[in-house]
Amino acid sequence: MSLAESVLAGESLALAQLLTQVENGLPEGRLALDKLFPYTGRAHLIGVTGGTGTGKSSLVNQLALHYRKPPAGNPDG
Amino acid sequence: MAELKIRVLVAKPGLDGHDRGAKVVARALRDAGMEVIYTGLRQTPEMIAEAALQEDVNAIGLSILSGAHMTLVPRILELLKVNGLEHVKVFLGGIIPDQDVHRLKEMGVTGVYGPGASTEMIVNDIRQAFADRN
Repeated sequence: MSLAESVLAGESLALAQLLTQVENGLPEGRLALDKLFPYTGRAHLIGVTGGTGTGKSSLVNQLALHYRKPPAGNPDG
Repeated sequence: MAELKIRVLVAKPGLDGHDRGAKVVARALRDAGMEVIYTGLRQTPEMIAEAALQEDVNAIGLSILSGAHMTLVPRILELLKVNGLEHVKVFLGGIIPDQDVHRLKEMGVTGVYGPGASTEMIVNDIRQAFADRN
């Protein structure tokens, strides 16, 4: 099974290894991104800025919790 | 593309609160061009194995001064195996009695560094372990 396939199967180790390949600009990483691209495209990009100590990380942590919560009445999200 | 950096997790398992040695080693490895992640104090074996998994590290340096190495190291090695991380090299620093060094190496620890070990030696050992990687 290729790394991309393992990532799609939810394997953390494969994801970590793939991130390393992408980070190092290896051709394998590039190919895996091509494979994974069709599974993406529904993401939002949200930027959070603010001064030191104003609570950016706290806010982001709470946002992550919020987004991961399945919508009410639909346990499968 | 630059050569692949060796990524090392420096970890402090157990309850002793002395991480001067771990920080010195972390810095020496960084200065030698490696990518170093330091966990901070009082980590459980589970936390260390999880960090190693998430960061896709090549090696783990453990610092133990509490005397609990014969309990902590086997547990960490076991968890690495469970997580599919047998390829990760584990080295150890701290106060480790001579009679334990042999047993630890049998378990798979690649190097044990006590007080007075030079950072140069540690850097060279790690480099050598990954010499054929690039």
